[in-house]
Amino acid sequence: MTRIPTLSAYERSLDAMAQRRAALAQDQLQLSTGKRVNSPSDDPLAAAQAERIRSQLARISTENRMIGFARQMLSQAENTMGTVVDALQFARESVVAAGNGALSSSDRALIGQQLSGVRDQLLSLANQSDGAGGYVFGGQGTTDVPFDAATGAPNGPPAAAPNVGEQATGLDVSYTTSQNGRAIFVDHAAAGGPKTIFQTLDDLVALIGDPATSAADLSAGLKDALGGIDSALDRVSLARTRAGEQLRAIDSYQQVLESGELDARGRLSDLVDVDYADAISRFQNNRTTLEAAMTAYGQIARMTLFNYL
Amino acid sequence: MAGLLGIGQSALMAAYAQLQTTGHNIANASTPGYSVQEAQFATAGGRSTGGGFLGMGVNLVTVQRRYDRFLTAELASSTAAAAADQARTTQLDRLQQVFADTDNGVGAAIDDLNAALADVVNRPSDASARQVVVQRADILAQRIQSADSRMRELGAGADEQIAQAADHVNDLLDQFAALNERIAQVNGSGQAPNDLLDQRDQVLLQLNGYLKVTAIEQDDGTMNLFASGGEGLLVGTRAAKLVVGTDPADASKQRLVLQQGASSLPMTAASFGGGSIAGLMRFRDEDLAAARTALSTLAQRVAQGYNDQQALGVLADGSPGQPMFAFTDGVLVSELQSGAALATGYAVTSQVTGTNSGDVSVTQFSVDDASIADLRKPVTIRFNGDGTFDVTGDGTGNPTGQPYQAGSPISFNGWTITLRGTPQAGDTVEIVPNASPGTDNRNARAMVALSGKPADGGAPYTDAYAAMLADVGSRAQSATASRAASEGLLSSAKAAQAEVTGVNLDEEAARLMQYQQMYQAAAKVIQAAQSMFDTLLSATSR
Repeated sequence: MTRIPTLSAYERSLDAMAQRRAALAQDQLQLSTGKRVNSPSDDPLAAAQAERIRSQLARISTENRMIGFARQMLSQAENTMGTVVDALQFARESVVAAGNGALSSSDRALIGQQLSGVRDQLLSLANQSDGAGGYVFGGQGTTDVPFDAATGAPNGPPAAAPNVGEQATGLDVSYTTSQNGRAIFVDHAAAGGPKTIFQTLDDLVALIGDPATSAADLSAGLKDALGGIDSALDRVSLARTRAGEQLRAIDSYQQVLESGELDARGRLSDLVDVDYADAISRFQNNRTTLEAAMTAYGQIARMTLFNYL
Repeated sequence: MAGLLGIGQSALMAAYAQLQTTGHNIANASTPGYSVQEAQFATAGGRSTGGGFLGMGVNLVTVQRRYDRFLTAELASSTAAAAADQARTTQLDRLQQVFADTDNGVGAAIDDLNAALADVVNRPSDASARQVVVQRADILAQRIQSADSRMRELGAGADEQIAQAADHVNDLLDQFAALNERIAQVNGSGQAPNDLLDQRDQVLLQLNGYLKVTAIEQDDGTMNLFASGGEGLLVGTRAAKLVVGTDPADASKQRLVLQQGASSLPMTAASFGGGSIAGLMRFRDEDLAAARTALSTLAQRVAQGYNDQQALGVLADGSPGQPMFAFTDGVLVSELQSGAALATGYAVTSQVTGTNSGDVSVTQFSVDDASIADLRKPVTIRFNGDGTFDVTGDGTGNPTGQPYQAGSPISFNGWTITLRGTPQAGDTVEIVPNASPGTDNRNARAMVALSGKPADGGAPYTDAYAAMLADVGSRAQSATASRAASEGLLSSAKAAQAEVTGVNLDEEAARLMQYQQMYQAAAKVIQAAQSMFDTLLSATSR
């Protein structure tokens, strides 16, 4: 027969109750924080995976910031290039109009003024700020406006006007945030060496504005200018198409990121979030058991032979 | 009649002794370590008469405690095991709290630094974006510092607890020696001093709470005590002393030395085998040391990674980037004083010549070694019509006829360029000094990429942190599990021992009744003897 000493009987039931209370406290913590894993030892593997997913989400958010910025810059560049195309089209029409032999010299002077205005508009578009401390056509690494505000010559050394490339952003991908203005506004294949579209228009305006210009010179000048404008249109259209393509690529990449984020959040929730139905039933279970243990303790503690002596 | 009176008296005395024992048991029902006592009786023998042996009553032989040497030894050893697990678990629980808040942890600080660097990639010339990087770098260093200093505090706390435990052990050894002495004094009587033995067992149990002690009983009733490594803690009445000293191998660490007279013996973790001292030492020397090493390795890698990347870049004025962090004596400090000190750009840049007739373009350009003196020297890559290229420029050795393959990297002077497209004869790509590195974002981009793909080839920083988290977590988890197991063993050892030695009040109540009745019966025997004597007296009084 097992002897149950009085003291150890009390201690054992107190121990059992203390354990049950600890289990209840754990259930309560889970229910109040909504998390199954509240400290790494609750589930070390899940805690480590949760930390990895937290970091993954942070990377996704960083990537989103970067490509979000690229999207902003690219759509700005695309709009600006649209305006550049419009201005170039207008310049082209003006040049064609200037070729009309029936025009009076005052009419031609008017066209010269229009072209001068278009040239200034193009230069200010080429030097447009991106609203983020840089320039839409600044390319990689320029502090100054891309083109001289007066002459329209490419700014910054080397003066030979090579490409300065484009500035890009992105963690796992690369999208342009600043267009290479020299590749758009400078005709590197021009007969007399690299020539900006501003210079082309300047030359034309000077030609038209000079009453001494012969008809043959005018005709040749207009032809040259038309060629310059057409090649500029080609280059800006190419750059615009590339910007548009990148914008589309950003759209689909953002969807990839979004679904990746959704997936990561789902996995994070599976790892660390509490299953309420499960937690509540465990809580109820532990509560019932604790109550039963207390009732039993109270009744057994009252039972002693001394009551009958 | 005298015989009957004697028998009655012996029964009365026996019942009284038993009632006293029962009373003592009831009184000590809640005394820790008390073993229930029982009075042992034997018949007083018989007197031979012609008509057979006439019994002479009852004698009290001894008062015995209910005791089982093996159960007591098992209780002591399971107490030592449980105390070790308990101490280690408590400490590990505190340790894991250092890393529990991952939203404000070291990993999050690394990611925050990256997010700030990403803003600099977007807007390299924006002073406020650069300032955020300065703050985030500082926060990262502080997070690591604070985790490390919390761990240092835990180590200091463990040292203090070990020192306190050593003090208690010394007190208990003195008490044990005193009890040994008293037990030896009464040993000659042939009767066991039950209460002294209980007290000594209790002291032994308390000792096992601090370290695992092996007790060996001697012929004179005393017990000699030995630690797990066989070190003599107490021999006869001479108790040794645990003294805290510094480890001669590492002055920053403390160790325990066992002093016995003039000799002193250094104690290792193995010498303790159990008890809270063993648990604390295991925590301090294994668990805490591993976590501190992991954090310090991570801090060092982070410092090295960002510093190396800084060194590859240049500031707005073209001067090379200075270290972002300083890692000395295990402490990480941010050295980035201002946003301008962030080396976002490269010293050189690549340019595709505008008059090229082919469509060659640059897909990748990076600086991999800024220590080469010719890094900033202009270099021209000129393509030939036969699918090869010539290189001209200081430091390149001006190689000619190099085979060109789109997408394969070309490296000279510490930079690497990757080209694509089909070049035509005479096309050139130039590497020239960067005119305005302050607005260049390429090195900043490399910094953002760094944490996910460290240059040292190791795991990404946040993954290394997650692995560390898992290690601390699983140590805490397995310690908790072994504590649950050792507590289970302890409570069954307690129950097994109590089953033998504990006081059961119902049992005592029954005995109380039983011996009260015996006492009454014995009194009746005396009364009968007296009334017989009276009868005899009155019959002979005439």
